[in-house]
Amino acid sequence: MSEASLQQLTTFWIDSNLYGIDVQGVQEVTKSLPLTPVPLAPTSIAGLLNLRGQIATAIGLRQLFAMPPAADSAKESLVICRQDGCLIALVVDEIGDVIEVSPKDFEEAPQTMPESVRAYSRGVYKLEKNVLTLVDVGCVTEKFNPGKSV
Amino acid sequence: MDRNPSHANESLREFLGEGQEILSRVTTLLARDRVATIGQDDLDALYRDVHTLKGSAQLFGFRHLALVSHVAEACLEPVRRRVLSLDEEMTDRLLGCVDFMEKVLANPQMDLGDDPELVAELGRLVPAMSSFASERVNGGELMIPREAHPDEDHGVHEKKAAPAATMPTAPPEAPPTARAASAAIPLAEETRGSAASPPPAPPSSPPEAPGGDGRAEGNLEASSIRVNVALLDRLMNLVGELVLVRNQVLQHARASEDHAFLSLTQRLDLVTAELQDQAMRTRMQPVSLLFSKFQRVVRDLGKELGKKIELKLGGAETELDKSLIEAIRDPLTHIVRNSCDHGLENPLDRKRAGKGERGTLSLDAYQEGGQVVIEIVDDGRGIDPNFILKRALEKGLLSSDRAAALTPPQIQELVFLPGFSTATEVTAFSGRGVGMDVVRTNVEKVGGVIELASRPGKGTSIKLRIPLTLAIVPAMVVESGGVAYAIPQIKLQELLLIDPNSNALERLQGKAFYRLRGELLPLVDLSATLGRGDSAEAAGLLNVAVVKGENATYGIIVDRIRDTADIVVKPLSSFLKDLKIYSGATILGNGQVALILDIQGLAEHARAVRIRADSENADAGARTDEGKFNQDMGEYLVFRIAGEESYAVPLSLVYRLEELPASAIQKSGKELVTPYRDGLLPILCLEHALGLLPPTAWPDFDERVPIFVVEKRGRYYGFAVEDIQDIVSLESDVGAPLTDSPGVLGTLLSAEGEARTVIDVIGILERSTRPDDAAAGAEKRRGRTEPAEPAKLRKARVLFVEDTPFFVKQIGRILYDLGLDVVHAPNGEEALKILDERGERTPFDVVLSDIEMPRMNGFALARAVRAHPTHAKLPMIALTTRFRDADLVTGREAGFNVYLEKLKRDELVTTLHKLLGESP
Repeated sequence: MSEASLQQLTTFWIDSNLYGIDVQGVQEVTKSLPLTPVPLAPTSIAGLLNLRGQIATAIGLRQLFAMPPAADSAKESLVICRQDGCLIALVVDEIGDVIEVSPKDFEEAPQTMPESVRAYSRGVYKLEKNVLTLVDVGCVTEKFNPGKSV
Repeated sequence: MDRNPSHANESLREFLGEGQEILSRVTTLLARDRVATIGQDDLDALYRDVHTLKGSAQLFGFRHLALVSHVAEACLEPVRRRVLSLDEEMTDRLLGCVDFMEKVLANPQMDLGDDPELVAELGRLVPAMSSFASERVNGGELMIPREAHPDEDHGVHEKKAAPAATMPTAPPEAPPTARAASAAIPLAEETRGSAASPPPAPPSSPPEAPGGDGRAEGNLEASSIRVNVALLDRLMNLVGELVLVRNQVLQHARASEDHAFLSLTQRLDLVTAELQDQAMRTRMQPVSLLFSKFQRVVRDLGKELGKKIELKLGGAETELDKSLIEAIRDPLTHIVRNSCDHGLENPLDRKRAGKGERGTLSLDAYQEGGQVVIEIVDDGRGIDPNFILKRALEKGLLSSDRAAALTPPQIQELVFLPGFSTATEVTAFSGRGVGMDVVRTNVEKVGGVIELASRPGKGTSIKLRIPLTLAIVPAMVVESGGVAYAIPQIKLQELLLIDPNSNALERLQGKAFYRLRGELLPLVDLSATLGRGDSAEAAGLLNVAVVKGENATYGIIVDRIRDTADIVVKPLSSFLKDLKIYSGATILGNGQVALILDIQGLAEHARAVRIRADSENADAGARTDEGKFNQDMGEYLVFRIAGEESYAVPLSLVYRLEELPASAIQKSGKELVTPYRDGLLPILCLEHALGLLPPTAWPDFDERVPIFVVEKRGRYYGFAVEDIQDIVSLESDVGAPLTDSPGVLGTLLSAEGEARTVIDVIGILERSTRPDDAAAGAEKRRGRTEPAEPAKLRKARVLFVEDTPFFVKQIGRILYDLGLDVVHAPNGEEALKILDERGERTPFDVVLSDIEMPRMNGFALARAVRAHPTHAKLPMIALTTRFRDADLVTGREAGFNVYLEKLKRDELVTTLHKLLGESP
């Protein structure tokens, strides 16, 4: 989290909820790509994909957040992050805009946030029309690889 | 003085690298055998190297390094002039200097004052060297510089050697005998960190920099360049990427008609292949790097252990990928140390054994079929099988029954068992409790194998086979459930197409097995194992890839076998690493990502039955051609009848496993039969034999009845059970039965403490009431239970030779019941020994022998007995499962009086009566 005045976030939607990740951690966003399933992996591991010759691991955020599968996957997209030297692709319903947020709008995660989401979130930003949940990719990888990420 | 190489510049790195190479060369020269006979050229090279090192050390401000190399150089000077000889003591001292210098180079940032030990060492080395050399050379021509800058005294105490003269600290070329080979070099402090200039003149006389990160051969003509390993790694990665893209382009090209494009792709293919090849070469290093280190190791070990060891190195130019060299460094070191410590004898023992005083240890490396073979051979005492067996038994690594049945190669393999070596055996030299099992693990980790061969008294030979490279491997691509997977070619043994209706395919409640050349091969359905439903059982044939894991060979059922490809192995991200069934991932030619299967991990996951894969090790005579009777008696078929209890029967007695529809089972008189092969298969129920059901009642059969078929004298009998559970490998003995039922042989305890009753199928068969055997059956029953018989036989002594524990118990029981005095030998060799040792004092009346045994089979035993001076007339009975006419002839020719079949108990009793006592 930067101490500078404004922070830029890449945002995306899951159902009607808005989430965001610090742009610094995002390599790119792409449309959905074919995934190779990884049998016997945890259910939130959606599969592996070929990103211009690199193998990225796709993580289904819906599964991670313990939400039911999407009704409509037409706009399904991938948010590509690099964490601990690994390429991660977060599967989301729809990509949002890159927005700027101010630290003064940041609050701790409310009690109403489900535990399955809270585990990966540092808190929320109160926006004009919305509440954005800040997702910490480090927490995501930490879950799969305890003790290894930053 | 600022010694902080965080300002590390290229030059400093160069110096450090080069310094280490110099020390390596120096060590190689000094540690070699019979160094006193060193030639002038080598002496000159030695001197030059040390001199160079001194100069560079001064330049970069490594004062102490410079000091030590200076005293070493000073000592070498008279040696080079042949005034002093390079004897053992001199060499030891010089090597001591090298040790010190290596430590300094290993820790360039270290302040010497921080390490009191090192300081003390320095304090000992310098004066010792100077006084040592000066004592040898009259007049003390050697001069030693005094501590240069008092204000930088880090506590190093330097005594001036008596005849030494002090020297100015500037250009240390003052010793009159030393050649001022270099321009005056100011001491380091002033010139430290001179950024731009590469090390000047001194380093240039020996070769500046070896190529590709480490050619240790000081070839003056070689034009080479030092390259950072990280750079090479990146280069290799990029080449890997290119290979993948090339694969994809080729795939596209297949669908294209554009000729210009096609010829371009061909060109791309050629260039990429060439690039891949050359890039791999950049990482290849000669194994000499590794080998030359052992000169020192062996030399030191030899001295400490008081043994004379000659190290012969061969194939030093053979090349191996750098990462692989690193990987086998430790295993190789352990093997070498083991050889010196345990293998090679001390001079006295060697003399007694009729060998030369000097033991020979040879390291060789060569390429063979896409692999590099590293061979370590010693002419020491070899591996004593008896010692190994004793130790293995002591450590509870195997049962005594099993032990008796092992062939010599199998015994040697025991050293690889975890827990074989312990602290008591492992001395300080062989490593800290590192055993051969760790060596094997490390070698196999990089995809290599380790083979051991030894001749007791003569020596031991160990071979390591290492793949040439890890990054790009040939693989077979298979498809399962619409998804592609890759199987590394090196693990693949063969491909099978199995007809699902084949006789050789057997199913046990969901587990499939295939009889492949006599062995039961477990089959693993990849789709099912991955939890994606069963493999597409197409109307056609089953595709099976036979693979070999660490200790399990099994077949993987897949939907389709695609093609072979060179794949670039990409590691799985850290959070998938826990999945042991995959060893990585790759991108196929069509852009798809494919997971690479880890053969061992998959086996463990599928809980495939562990069937020992090394049938090559089995004694030639131990298996029948049809492989009907499994030599390994530790395997039992476990099944259930009448409820929850588990029963077992030795697998070797099971001819086939079947699952027949209940509707096919019919009554024929009082029996149950079913059409089978070309005849009728009588179906027996163990419930009858065990007294669990009256003979007229039959258990309820499910729709499909599991049956195991036993063959006896060409006839088949089926035993219907409720549920066939498993095939287990158990080392334990069959203990005395807990109940006294007929039909029960004993109880088997599994490792988890489960007790299973072992069924005496042979006894049951013999008692079975078949209509045409009714009369014979009645008689057999009588013969078995009448207690009067034993009294009729005089107390005779039988030498009973049999290796299979099951039969030992079974037949042994018969013999005991007859009141005979039984002496048992597990194989022909032991039997002969017993005859020799005891045959005179306590003579034997008859020899009863199996045919198939390790070490010396029955035929050989018979011949040996017939040729024996004392025992040639001993009656000999052969007891065997091999019962073909040819065998009868061989048996008679070998000297057997009678040839009996193992499963025919009454014939044995009758024969014994005939031979030994009054007939009934």
